[in-house]
Amino acid sequence: MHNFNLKMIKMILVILVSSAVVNMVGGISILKNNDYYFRPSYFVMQWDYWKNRAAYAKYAGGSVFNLFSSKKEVSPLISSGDQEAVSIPVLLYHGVIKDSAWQPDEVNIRMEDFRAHMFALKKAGWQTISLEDYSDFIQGKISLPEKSFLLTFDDGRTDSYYPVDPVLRTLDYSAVMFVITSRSISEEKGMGHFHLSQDELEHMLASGRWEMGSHTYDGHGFVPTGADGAEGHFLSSRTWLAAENRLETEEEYKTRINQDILASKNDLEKKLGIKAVSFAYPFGDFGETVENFPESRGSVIDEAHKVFDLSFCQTASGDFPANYREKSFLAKRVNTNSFLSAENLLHIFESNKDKPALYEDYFSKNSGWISGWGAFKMENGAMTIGNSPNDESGLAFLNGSYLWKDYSVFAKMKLVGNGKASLAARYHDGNNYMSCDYSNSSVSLTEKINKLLVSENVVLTDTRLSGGREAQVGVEISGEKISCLLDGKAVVSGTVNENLSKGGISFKIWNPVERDNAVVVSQLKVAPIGEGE
Amino acid sequence: MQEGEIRFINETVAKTWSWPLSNWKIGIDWRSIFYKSAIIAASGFFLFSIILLKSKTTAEFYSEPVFFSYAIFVTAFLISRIFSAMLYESSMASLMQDTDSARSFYLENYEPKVAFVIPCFNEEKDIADSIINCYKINYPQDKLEVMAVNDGSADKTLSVLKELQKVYPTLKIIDWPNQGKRWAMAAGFETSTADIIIQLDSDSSVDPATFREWIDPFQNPRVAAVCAHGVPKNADKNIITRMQTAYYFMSFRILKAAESTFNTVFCLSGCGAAYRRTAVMPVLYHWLSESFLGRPTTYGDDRALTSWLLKRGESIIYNNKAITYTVVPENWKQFMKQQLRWKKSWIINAIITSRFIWKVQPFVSFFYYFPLVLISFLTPFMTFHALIYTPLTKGVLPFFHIAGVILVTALLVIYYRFLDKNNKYWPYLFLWSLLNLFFMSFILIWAAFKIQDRGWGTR
Repeated sequence: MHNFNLKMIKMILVILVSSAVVNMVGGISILKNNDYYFRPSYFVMQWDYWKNRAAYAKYAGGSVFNLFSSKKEVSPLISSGDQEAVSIPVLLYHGVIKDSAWQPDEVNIRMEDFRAHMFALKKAGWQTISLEDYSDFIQGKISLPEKSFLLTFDDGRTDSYYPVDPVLRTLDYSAVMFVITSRSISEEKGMGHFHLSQDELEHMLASGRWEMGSHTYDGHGFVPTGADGAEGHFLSSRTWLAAENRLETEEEYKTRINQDILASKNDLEKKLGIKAVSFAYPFGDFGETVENFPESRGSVIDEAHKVFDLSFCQTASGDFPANYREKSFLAKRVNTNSFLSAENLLHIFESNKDKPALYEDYFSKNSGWISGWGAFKMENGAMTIGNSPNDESGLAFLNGSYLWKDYSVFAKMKLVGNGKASLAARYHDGNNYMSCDYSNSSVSLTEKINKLLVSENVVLTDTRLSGGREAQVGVEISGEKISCLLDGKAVVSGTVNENLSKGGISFKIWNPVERDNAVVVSQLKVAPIGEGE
Repeated sequence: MQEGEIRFINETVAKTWSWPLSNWKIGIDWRSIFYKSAIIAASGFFLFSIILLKSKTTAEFYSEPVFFSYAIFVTAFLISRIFSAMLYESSMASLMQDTDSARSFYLENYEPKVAFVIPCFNEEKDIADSIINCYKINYPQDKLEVMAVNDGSADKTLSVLKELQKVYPTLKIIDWPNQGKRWAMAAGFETSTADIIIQLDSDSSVDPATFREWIDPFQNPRVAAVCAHGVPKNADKNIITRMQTAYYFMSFRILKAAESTFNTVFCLSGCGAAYRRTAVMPVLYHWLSESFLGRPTTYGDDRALTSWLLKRGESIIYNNKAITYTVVPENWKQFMKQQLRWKKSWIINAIITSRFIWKVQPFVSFFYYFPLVLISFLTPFMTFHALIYTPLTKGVLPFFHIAGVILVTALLVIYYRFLDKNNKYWPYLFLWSLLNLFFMSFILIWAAFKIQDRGWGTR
C-alpha cells in the first residue's frame, strides 16, 4: 500500500506543480497585456479619489460622514435650480501638473488650482453635461438647467486623465477628451507615456465619465511655410513643398487636411468603437490667425464640417465666454491655466446668466463685467478701463448682455488722458460692434465688423471731457437705428450694420500715442426700448 | 484497517501522523481553520504578487527565452518543494501503516540494539554534552552502546573522554591518528553489534525525550536510514546564528521533508543520522574506498554514504519528531568556511549521484534532482547577470529581481509559519535569502575551483 500511495503522491505532485507553472506562465502573459489595473498610476488614482472626497467634504462644509456616503449625497449645497440655461460655457484644460516644482505656463494648470476650479464650480451648483446634450442645446432641441457647462481636455495627455479622473469621480462630473489619434491609438501600451494609449482610452470610455473627440490624426504640429524655414500650423497653412520649390495649391491643401481629419475620425470610430462627432482645432486655430493663406479661415471650418457635427475653438479676448443657441458648428471654449483663479472662473461663469435689458450698475461690485484686454479695475464705486504698455486700447464688456436687442444706455463717464472712450452697443465680440466714441473734441459713431472699421461718422464738438469732467453719455439702439448721446442729447446717429441684430454693451479706451489713459464709469442705466429685450 | 490508522490524503491537513490516537482532534477548531485560511490567502497573495512582478519585468519568451524560463523554472521548483513538503506527513503516515508485510506496526516498545558513534576531532568543548545526553535516554542500558572515536585530536578531547569514561564505564573510546570522519564512522559500523547505528557529530547531541520516535520508523523493513531534525543549540547567540537557525528549520522541515516524501533524502546530515547496520554493511567498503578526480574523497562523508544507500534502492527518510541539537558557527569566517566545505561536498556528490540516480529513482531524479543541480549551477550566472551585468550595461537597478527573491522567500516563510507558529526565527529567513542571493550562490563557483583542496575544514 505504501507503494501505491507513493504513486498517488507523485501524480498529485506532478498535477500541482504543472498547474502552478501553467498559472504562472498564463498569469504573466495575461497581466502583461492587461495591466491597467496594476499600474502605479492606477493605484495613485484610487488614492487621489479618496483624498478628493475628503477635501471636497471639507470644502463644501459637510461633515466627515459625507466621505462615506454614496456619491449622490456629495452634492452641491445649491441645487442646479429651476432656471433654464440661455448659454453654455465650455472649459478647456490641457495638462494638470502635480509636480510642485513646475513653473505655471499659459497652457497647463497646477493640480491644486484645477481642483480649486472644480470644487468652486461644484459648490456653486455647476454641473457638467455631455457632448450630445451640448449639441442638442445649441440646436435648440432641448433645454438644460441654468448652471450647466461642458468640460474638455485637449491632446489626450496622460496628465489630463490620471490627476483629473479622481476629481471627476468625486464631483460626479464628466469630461470630453480630444485625442490626437496618431499619438494615442495603436501606440505602444505602457507606463510613463505622455499621450494616453488606446488601452487607457478604452478604460476611460468604459468608466462612463469620459467622451472622446478628435484633435486631428497628426495635425497638432507645424509645417514649413517657406523656403526660409518659416513654419505655420498644420491645419491652417499651406505647406512649402521643398522638393517642388512651391507652396501647395489650395486643392492639395484641402486634400491634405481632409485626409488627416478623416483619418482621425476613422481611428476613433473603428478602433475605439465610438461615434466621433466633435473636433477641436489644434492651437484653437481655425484659420483666423492666418499665416500665408487667408482663405484657410473658411477652409478649415469647411473641411472639419464635412466630417464632424461640432467643432471647438478657444475664445478670443473680448468674446462672450459662453455659447448661445446660434452658429452651431463652431463652439468657443474658455482657456484655463494657473493664472486664472477659482474666483475669476466662477465670476466668468456666474456672470453668464442672461441679464434683462433693464439694468442698473453703480459699480460697487463686479456684477458681470469681463475685461477683454488692457487694464481693468473696479473700486471706489467706479469701473476703470485703461490701456497698458502692451495694448493701445483696453476693453471690458458686460457678460450676460449678449441677447439684448433694442435698448437705451446712460452712463456717467470720465476720460483720463487724451484718448477715445467708447461705449459700444450690439457688442458681439471685440471685432464686431457699433460704438459711440467720445474724445475731448469729438463724438463719433463707428461700425466695426470682423476687425475692420466699416464706417465712422464723426461730429466735432467740445465734449468738455478734458480735465476729468464727468459727462453723461448714452446710446439708443432700436431696430436699425442707433444714436449717440452726450449730456442727454443725441449728437450723431446712423444705421446699424445688418450683421449686428443683437448684442450687449462694452466700454473701451483707445490711445495709440499715450498709455495710462483710462475711461472711468461710475454709473450705468440700461432700459429696453419696445416690448422688451 | 488498524486502529491507529489515519486516512490517506483527506487527512493531509491533519495535525500529526503519530500515534497513539489520543492526539487526534475531534470537533471543528475554528481558530485553526481561520489561521489556515489566512495562510492560504497570504500565499495566494504572494504568488499573485510574484506573477505580477514577473509580468512587469520578464521579457517576452521570444526575446529572452533563457531568463524567462529560468525565472519560471526556479519559482516552479520552489513551489514543488513546498507541495512535496506538504505531502510529507501523509507519506510518513502511509510508511508507518505499510501493511505489505504481515506485521502490524503498533509496537509500543520497539527496542532494538542501538549504538551511538561519535567521531571527534578537536571538540573538547561540546563532546561532553554529546556523550552525556546519550546516556540520559530512557532506554535499557544493555541495548545502548556509545562509542567515541578520537580522530587524532590535538586538544584535550581525549582527556575529556577519559573523564567521561569514569562516569559512564560503558563508554567505548577508540583513539587513533587522524584519518578522517569516514574511517571513524566505519569503525563504528565494523565493531558494533547493534541493529541501529546512530552517527552524531561531536558537537551535536540527541534530545533524550525524542529518541524513541527517531528509531520507530525502523520497524518498517524498507527503511534503511532515518535523518533527525537538527536544531542549533546556540540559536540566540547573534544574528548569524539566528539566521542559520531559520535556515536549518526551513532546510530540514521543508526541503528534507520534501525529499523524504519520496523516501529519497539525499543527505543524512551529521547532526543526526540513524542507519540500519545491515543496510550499510554491503556498501561500507565501496564507500570507504571512494575517490574523486584521483584523490580520496574526504568530504561529504555523510552525503556519500547516503548516495551509496540510495544506489541500492534503499528508502531513506527524515523524521521531524526526532530532535538533535547542534552548534552552528558564530562568526562570519567560520560560517563561510563551513559553507565552502558544504558546497564542495555537494558538487562532488552531485556529480557522483547523477551517474546512477536516474536508473534507481527516475521520477525523483527528473522531477527533483536534476532540476536542483541545474538550478544550482545556473543560479550564480543568472544572479551575476541580474545584479551586475544588467545594471552596468542598462543602468537599471536590480530592484525587481531582489523583490522577486523576497517574494519567493515570503512563500516559503508562509509555509514555515504554518508549520510552527512558535518558531520565532522566521524573519531571519529573509536575511538568509538575501545573503544567498548576493554571496552564497557565488561560493559555488569558488568551491568548484577549490575542489581539489581536501582538508577537514576546521570549524
